[in-house]
Order: sequence, then C-alpha cells, then structure tokens
Amino acid sequence: MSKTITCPNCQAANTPGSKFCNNCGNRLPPSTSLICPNCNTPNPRDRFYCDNCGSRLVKDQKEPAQEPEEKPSLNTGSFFSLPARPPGQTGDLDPLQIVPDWLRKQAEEAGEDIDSEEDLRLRMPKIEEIGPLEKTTDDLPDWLVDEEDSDAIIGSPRVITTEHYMNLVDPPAKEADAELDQVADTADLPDWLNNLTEAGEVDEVTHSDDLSTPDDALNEWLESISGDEPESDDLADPQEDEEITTDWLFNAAVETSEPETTPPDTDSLSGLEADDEALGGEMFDWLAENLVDTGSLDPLDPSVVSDFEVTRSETDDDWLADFNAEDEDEALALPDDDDDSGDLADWPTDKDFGETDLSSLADLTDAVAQQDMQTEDAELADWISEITDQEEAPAADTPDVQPDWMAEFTTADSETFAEEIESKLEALEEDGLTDPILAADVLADLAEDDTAVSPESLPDWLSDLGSDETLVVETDERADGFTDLFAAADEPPLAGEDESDLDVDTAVAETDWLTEMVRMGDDAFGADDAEEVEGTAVAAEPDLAASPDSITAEPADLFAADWPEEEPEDEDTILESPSDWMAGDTMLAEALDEEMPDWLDELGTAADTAAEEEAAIPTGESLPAWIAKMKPGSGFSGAGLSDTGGLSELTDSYTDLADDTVATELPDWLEDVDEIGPSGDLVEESTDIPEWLADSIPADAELSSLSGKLPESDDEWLEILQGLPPALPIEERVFQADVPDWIMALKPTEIVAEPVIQEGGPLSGIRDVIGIETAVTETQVNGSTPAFTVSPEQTAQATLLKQLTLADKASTQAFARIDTSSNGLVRMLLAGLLLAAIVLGLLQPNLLRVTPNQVPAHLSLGYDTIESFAGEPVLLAVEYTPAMAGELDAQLEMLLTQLADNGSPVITVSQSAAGTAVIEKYATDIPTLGLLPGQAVGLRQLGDCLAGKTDCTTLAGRTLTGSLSQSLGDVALVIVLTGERDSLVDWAEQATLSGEIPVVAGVTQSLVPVALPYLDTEQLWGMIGGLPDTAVYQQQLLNQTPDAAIMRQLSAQTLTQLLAAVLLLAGGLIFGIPHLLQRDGES
Amino acid sequence: MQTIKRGLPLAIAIAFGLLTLIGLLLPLPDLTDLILGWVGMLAAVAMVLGVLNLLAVHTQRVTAENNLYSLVLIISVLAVWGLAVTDALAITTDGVANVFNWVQVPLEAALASLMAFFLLFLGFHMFKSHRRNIGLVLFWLTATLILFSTVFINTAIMPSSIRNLFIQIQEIINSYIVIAGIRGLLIGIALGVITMSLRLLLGLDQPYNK
Repeated sequence: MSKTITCPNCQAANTPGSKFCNNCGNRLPPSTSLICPNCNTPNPRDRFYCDNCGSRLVKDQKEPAQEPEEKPSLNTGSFFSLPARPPGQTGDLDPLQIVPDWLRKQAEEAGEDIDSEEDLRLRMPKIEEIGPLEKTTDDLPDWLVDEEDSDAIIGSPRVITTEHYMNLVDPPAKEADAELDQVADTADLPDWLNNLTEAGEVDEVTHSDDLSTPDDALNEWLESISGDEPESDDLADPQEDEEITTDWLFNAAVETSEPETTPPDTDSLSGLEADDEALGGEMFDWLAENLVDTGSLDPLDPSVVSDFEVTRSETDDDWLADFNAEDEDEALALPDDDDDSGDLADWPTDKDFGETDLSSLADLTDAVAQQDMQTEDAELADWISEITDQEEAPAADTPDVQPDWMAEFTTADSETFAEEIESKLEALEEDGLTDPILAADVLADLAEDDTAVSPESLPDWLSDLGSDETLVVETDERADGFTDLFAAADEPPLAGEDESDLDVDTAVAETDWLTEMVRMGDDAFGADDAEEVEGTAVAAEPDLAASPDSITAEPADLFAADWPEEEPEDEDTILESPSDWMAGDTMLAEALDEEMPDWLDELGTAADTAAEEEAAIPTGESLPAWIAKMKPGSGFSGAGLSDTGGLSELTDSYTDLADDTVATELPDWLEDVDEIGPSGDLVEESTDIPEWLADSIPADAELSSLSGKLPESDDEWLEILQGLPPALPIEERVFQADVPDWIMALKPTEIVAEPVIQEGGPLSGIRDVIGIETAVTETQVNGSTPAFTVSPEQTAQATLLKQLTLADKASTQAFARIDTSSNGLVRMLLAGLLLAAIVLGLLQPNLLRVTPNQVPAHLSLGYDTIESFAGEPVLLAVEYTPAMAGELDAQLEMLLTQLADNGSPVITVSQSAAGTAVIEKYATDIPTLGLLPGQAVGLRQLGDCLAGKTDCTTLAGRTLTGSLSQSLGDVALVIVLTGERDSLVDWAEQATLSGEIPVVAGVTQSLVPVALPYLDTEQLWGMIGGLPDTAVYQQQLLNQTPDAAIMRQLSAQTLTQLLAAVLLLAGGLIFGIPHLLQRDGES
Repeated sequence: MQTIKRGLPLAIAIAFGLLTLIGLLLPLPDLTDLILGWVGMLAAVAMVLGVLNLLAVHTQRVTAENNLYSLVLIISVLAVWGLAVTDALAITTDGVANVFNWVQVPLEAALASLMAFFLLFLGFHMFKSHRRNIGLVLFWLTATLILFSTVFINTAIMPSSIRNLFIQIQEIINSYIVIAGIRGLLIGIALGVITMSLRLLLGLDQPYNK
C-alpha cells in the first residue's frame, strides 16, 4: 500500500491522510482504508471485498438479514473468541453469537436451539445454585480481593451480585461498546481451562466439607470471615444435607455415594468466584487446577474424594505444624522462600501426587506469607509450608537420610498412638469441626472388630479400600503406627473425651487419607496391575518398610518412597514400586505441557530439567488415572452433577471436547503474560515464580479456610439473595471487572467517529455502515503553504512572455493611437479630399492638362505584335474583375476595336466568373470558350491545344464545337487583360510553354512592374499598362481622337495620384521630422 | 490501416507527379492531357464542393448564431444560381449579367476606391508609427516619387525639362529597381516551386494527408 497520495492534478506526493494537495491545493482522493471486519486488513476505500480474506467490507443494507450469515461465526469452532465488534461497526452485539461453545454444543446435543437471549439466560447456572455465601468480598482475604493493589492480578469487585456472577459464567453478550471485551476474558479461555475451572470450583465445593480444622486459629479465622458457620451436627443427617444444600450439590454427593458428603464450602466457592472474576476467569483456573488439582480427582470415586479431603484436613492441622516446628531442627530443613524448591514449576515434576500438592501449597503459602506477613493468615501459611517441606523433603534430600520424626513414627508405641488418636479426636470434636458421623462410624466398626476392619463395617470409602487385599489391615497395627506419629507431635489429648473412640476415630481419619492415596494409585495404574497399585498406594504411607505386612508402615513409606533401595523384601507388601508413582508425575507433566500456557510450560520444563539433573527422579511409563483426569477432556468436573441443572450440564460438556482442541486456545493477552508482568517489565525466564504471580497465589490454608458453610435452610438462602445488591445495568456491570491497567494498555483502541451521512453518490447506500475516520470529519486546517520556488528558466520564460505580450499590446495601441489621434475630422478631410480629386478630375479633364507625350517601348511592342498578327485568330482572355474595370475596360474596348479593324477573329475565354461576365458585356457576339477552370493546368491544356499538340476537340472536360475547335487551333495571338499577378503569370508561363504563341498583356498601371520582367524574357510580346498607356496607345499609335471618357478617367486618376503624393509628402514631413528631432534630442 | 491510409495518397501523389513530369519532358501529350483532364474535373468538383461547403457553413452560422451576413451570402448564392437556371431555361434574359453589372461591378469598384482611400490615409500617417526605419522611409520616398512622376509625366503642369527628369527617374525605377525586385521574387518563387515539387515527388511533404 502506497504511503503517499499522489495528487491527480500535479502528481505531487502528499502525506497519507491529506485531503488537499500540498502543492496545488487540489482535492486528493480519500486515503483512509476500510478495515476488514474479519481479518482487520486495511483495504482501499474503493474495495467492496477484502483483499486478504474476501470478506465483504461494506455492509449491504438491502439484505441485513444475511449479514450474520456472511460473517464467520464466532462460536462455530472449538475456540472461544472474544465478542468483538469490527471497527466502525455500531450497534449491540448479538448475544446469541457469543454463546459459549460448550453451551451451544450442549444445546445441540439436546436437540434444542438457543434462539433467544432468554434461552441463554435460562441455561445459565442460577446464583441460587452456585451463589456465594458471602454477600460481598470484603471478608475475603486480601489476596483474593485486592482491587486496590495495582500490581495484583486478582482484583475482584467488592460486591458480588447475581448479575456479576452471571457475567462470569456468561461471557458478556450485550456489549454496548468495545470495552466489554475486557470482561469477556472468560469466554476467551481455553476450553480445558474452563473445564478445570468449573471442575475446580465444584470439586472444591464438594470436597471441602470436611476441611474444618481443630486449630483454634483457623477457627477464628473462619469465624471472622463467616458469621454463619454451619454446625457440624447439621451434617450428621444426610437428609438434612439434602435440605440445607443445594440440589446439585446434594445430587453430586448422592452420585458419588460419599457418606461424608457435606455442604459445599461456600466460602471457598465465593473465594473462587471472586478470584475467578478478578482474574478474568483465567488466572485462577490454573491455580485452582493446581491447588485443587486434587480436585480433578473424580468425585464419583468416593475414595478419592475422601482421600483428598482427609489429606487436606490433615495438612491443615496445626498440630502437625507444631510438631514440625518442634522438630524443625531435626527434621528436614525448611526451604527458604527463595529456594528453588518453592518454585511453582516444581509441582508438575514432583515424584508423587502428595508431594506435588504439598509443594505447590508450600509455594503458594510462601507467596502468601510474603504478601501478608502482617496478618494472622501468615500463621496458617507457616504450618502449611512446614507440612509441605516435610512432605517434599524425602524427594529433595538424599534418600538414605530418614528424619527423626519419621523414625518416631516407626518406633512409636501402638498404645501411645491410640491415645494420641483419642486426644486428637477429642480436640477435633471440641472444635466442632470434626465429622461426628465419620468418627462414630469408624469407632463403631473398630469396636466390633479390633483386629481387622471388615469391608462391611467400614465406611463405603473405606470399604473400597478394603476390597483391595493389600489394604486389609489391622486396626491395632494401624493405631500403633499412628500413635507414634501423634506422640512425636506432642499433641496433648483432650480431656474428657472417650479416648478409645477418639483413637479409633482419629486413626480411621488418618487412615482414610492415607489409604486414599492408595486409591489414587489404584486409579493411576489400573485394576489390572493390582500389585503395582498396592505398592503405589502403600508407598504413600510412611514407615511401611518397617513392617511390610502392616498398614502402619505405610505412612512412613510415603515419605520413604523416594528411596528405591529401601524397597520391601516381601513381595506381599504394598510397598513395591515408587518409581511408578513418580512415573505418573512425568506423565502428568507431559499431559500438562499440552494444555498449559507456554510460560507455565516453560516453567515446568525448567523444573523437569532441574529435577533430571539431580538424577533423583525415576521415570515411569504409566500415568495415574487421577493425573490423567487432569487432562483436558477427561476431567471429572461435573460428572457427578448431572442433576444439578445448568452448571453441571455445562461442565459435562467439557469432557466431550477433544484434547487437541484445547491446546491453542489461550488468549493472546495471556500468552503475553509470560513476557510482560503487571508492571510492564519483562519477566525473566526462570523457574522461579514471578513475584507478581507469587503474590497472587493463595495459600492452600486460606483456600481451605474459605471452605464454608452453606446456609442451612432456604430462608437463609433467601436472605442472602435478598441481601445481595440489586443487579446493575449491563453498562455498569461491564466496568465492575477490574482489569489491570497493563492489560487495558494492551487493548487495541477502536476508532469511533461520528457517522457521516452520505446522501448522494455511490456511497449513499452504506450510510452509517462504515464509520468515517476522524481525520476526515475533522475540520481541516490548512497550514502554511510552502513557498513556491521558481527556477531561473521559468523566470526568464515569464519575462519573455510578458515582453511579447506588452509588445503586441503596444503595436495594437499604436494603431489605436492612430485611430484616436486621427480624429474624424482628419478622416473626413482626407476622404473629402480624395472624393474631391476624383470628382474634380472627372469634371475637369483638362485641369492638369493631361497630355501623353511619349510612347513607352512595351507599348510599341504590343501594338506591333497585334498588328503583326492582323487577320489571324486572336484569343482574348479577359481575366479582370469589375474592380479593375476602370482601367481595363478602356483597353478591352480599344483592343477589340483594333482587332476588329485588323480583321482578326477573336475567341474569348476567362478563368474567372467575373471575366466571363465582362466578356458577355463587351463581346456579346464573339465566340467564347467560356470559363476555363484549373488555373495553370487549364492554361496548360489550352497551350497544348493552341500549339497544335492536341486536337482541341475537348478542353477542360468540355467538348468544343468544330468551328471553335478549329479556331483554337488557328489562334496566332493571345491578348490577356488582367489586373492580377497570378493570372498574368499563368498566361505568360503556361500558354507560351508549348510553343511560340505571342502573348500581349493589357494590365493595370499597378501591375506594370510585374509584367516588365516577362517582356525582357519575351514571354510577353508587348504590354499596355493602365490608363496612361491606353491614352497614349489610342492617340499616338492608333491615331485616334482621345476618348473623352478615357481622358476624364485619366484626369481624375492623375489628380488623385497627385493628392496622394502630396498627402504622403505632407504626412512624412508632419510626422517624420518631429520624430527625427526627438531622437536627436534623446541622443 | 494507418499505413494504408497515409501511404496510398502518397503513392498516388508521387506517381502522378512523375507522370506529369514525364509528360513535360517527353513528347507524351496524350498522357499529359489525360492527367490534366482529371485535374480539371477534380478542380470543378472541388469547386462545387467548395460552394456547397460555403453554403453549409453559413447555413450553420445562420441557424446557430443568427448571422445576418451569412444569410445575405446564402440568399445571394441562391439568387444568382436561380437566375442562371432561369437564364438557361429562358425564363429570364441576361439575369446573371445584370446582377454582375449592377451589383458586382459597383461593389468591386467601391472596394477598390476604398482601398485607395485606405492607402492614402495610411500613407499620411506613415511616420506616426513607432516603427520608423529606413524601409519605411524608402517606401515613403519611392511612393512619393512614383506618384509625382506619374503626375508630372502625364500632365503639362511642369516644364518639359522637369517632366523629362521625372520620366527618366521613373524609367530607372521601373527598369532596374522594380524589375530587379520582381525578378528576384519570380526566381524565388521558381526555386520554391522546384523545392516543393521535389518534396512532393519524394513524399517528404504530404499536404493531401493533412
């Protein structure tokens, strides 16, 4: 595309956007371009279709209904696209065009169409189903709601409304302007991220019911953020659960057959939602996936659910933190905040799921701790980090070093362990955060069978574990193992509690999460490889090596799983192949590599590299199912929520998406995140978590602390809903999303201009369709015109032209001055003098005594010639006009008389019409050839005829009569009477060319000088010149009496000539002498 | 097509020029007469076409510009043509001759007289022009001498000696100065005609293609 505009007038180059030529001021053709609404390619204004993609550039108003069909659908593919309006296009976006793919796909599968916006809204999840417990986000942690911090990515609004949540679920469908694109980021998320987002939220809600912790600090924190904390007792009855929980949550619980299903943690949900909104639904997705990727565990699998929840519950316990704090010196050294072990990138490469989870938690905890060290939440972060460090220590450290506190597990007395369990359960019960149902069931089962836990007596999730032979353990052994653990933790048992119940309860609780680790292994390796599953599962249990057949050894082996040399000797033990365990991590990393953003992928790759360099991570071949479920398209989210309405249906649709359709759906702006941080600085490529990202990573403790308590009744729900702020208009909702400034800076600006009405011309049909560039509509202010440069040549040419023009004007003025100077009096005087002379000469022929005295030589020759051819035919050519009749008529009459006297037959001819008229006047009875056309040619033919070269039967195309033709052949003399030079010349030259034909010319006095040369060459044999010669010829040669008429004419002519001579002399003297004197004076 | 359009007239012009030249140099009078006959016919047709074109042009001027002089011209042409027809049909007698004697002869005589007046007036104001040079002086001097000599020669107002002087002066002027000038013009015209003939024969000049 040319960068300049060539002026059609002067061909000068002008800058783009110019309306008028800078050189000549001529109007320039418009230079603005039409932006293709499809590919944003600029096209010249005279184009109707895009050069790049062929899309129509100009909207056809005649067929508005076809416009949407012509445009590529924004949701026909698998990718999300931001609802964008092409530049210049006005009007609201069609909300139906931006129906999310998953929703549209779901509708298509159901055989339904989303025909209206109302349908779209109906299909969206209701706030009553997934609504947050908290009305506002004021109580949420700062890391979730940090809209004031410009550096934080998470900046959720302070008020959560139904419409706001709808805005999160439903990408903005009715943007009034392009700024709505900023809040439609959720629509731009890759499907797998959306899947996991939804999954993470649901899973968090589903599995966080047991996250209540006995820790007082945690309770206080929970109470501080939730005023209506649900009572634990309310969860005892599943029927009550159904009542106090939303349908979809309850259905999910029923489907998963999870007896411990509790109402969803609405705090957590609100946190997630707020976080999701703050991040535009993108940032939190991966976090949620990471933090709760355990949440990617299939909720249908009760063991997994239980495992996850119990694990979370235990890791949230402060007693463990305290324990770690006391044994900090002896145990594994806690990683520093700057330690690479805390990198986020480590989580994909951790050797087992537990480590992965915990390390991530540690990372996040560290980040939170850095950010909120002044808050009491830091305490939570510490104990989580401690747990994390303890958990990941075996992977990071050399395997031959076993922590002391771990060793205490293996050597602890079983009784002490039971006591500790009892005390722990008491503490839990006192805190009111322990599930009494679970504890009661477990304790009851334990009471029935002290040695072994039968599948029937165990809870379902434990029964599942019990179905596995390797998990048939004895309660005592298990209690022994855990007794040491609690003893080492130095957690005093609570007084007043039934120690046995507490022991059993605690033991079961501890066993659950440990055995669920086995379950995860079962999912990972499949049912076909039972031994491998067993080994993997038990590998998560510590101190299994000490007693291969005992389940009490499993927890220890969980941390010792990284020591291949400590594999149990007994093949029956479930500790078998920890490498397979880690193999899942490798597969996990590979799987995530496909789905993760590039920058995360790079981090993960870097971590992988670092881990490989340490040569401490064996690789496996198979991928645990629970890890595989994290893969997009195979997620569990929503699988058990089929009856929960829109959200579950929507999430189900995620699982149908193909794996390959999600890898490239990351929005552009998110791809840029790996390069540009919130402050705009380039982020160094490092495995370290970016600071800006680390600040935003929530601690797992905080997440778990947010696991809330759903309202117990519909009234509470109603109260919550009524307490929600009213829905704001969509325009205001749009601006509620706090998009970071640095993201806003990346948003391209849309050209908005006042519509220009084109009332006429070829563009009149596209009125209001194409916006006019502002530069066009703005008032054009003409700048200073550059100075016009003139070359010396141009100056010289202009000067010359000016001189010539003035000279012509001067000459014209000269004549004009003559006209003005010679006034009418002078003119009349001259005219009067002339007329007087003529009249006087005619009236007084003797006034001047005109007496021709001498006969000129040419006159004598003429007379002699005529006389010499007397009696012979004479061709008389009359070639004069009436204007010459005053002189030549006298000659004609005189010559005719002479020829008649000589007896010479005369044939007349003329080459002019006037001549023929003169002939007819004076020679009526004389034969005539009439008009002889062709000038010299006719005379040439006539000469041939006269010379006898032709028969003269035809002349000039005319057939001559016989006598006439004969006479022509006998013509001996040609007498030409003419007053014009050409005629004289033609006759003198052509007529005499063919032979010796004598020619005598009778001419006017003025033509005498012309005829004299031909006399010298004898082309003319004689000449009679004017009235004076006629008078002399008549008087001297013919001896005739002077004709009175000839004498009057001669007198008048002579007097006139005298007057002219006098006037010429007078004029010369009058005007010439002063001029000469003036020139002398000037010189 | 363009070559034929321009080449064909050129070939015809060259061919007939050479034929005419051959007819003048060689005793081929029939060929010369034939060519000259065609030239006469073409000249007559050209004259008819010229008259028709004259009528068309002035008719257009009458219709478009309401030119009165053009209307007079058209009426005059049609009237003389009509009289010629009536003369030929013996409806009228000497119609064309009367028009010539009573219209054309006085008009041309008047124009000639008017020319004498113009010459006299301009001669009187000859030196009022800013373009004064030796040529103007010579012209003024020659014209004055010729006029005076003519008067003095043809009249008896001057003594015979002066009259003879002026006769000699006029003879000198006519025999040497005027004839020298006229011959020079004729020679120049002859050279020009030769050059033009050669150019036409060689095709260097194509007035028929303009």
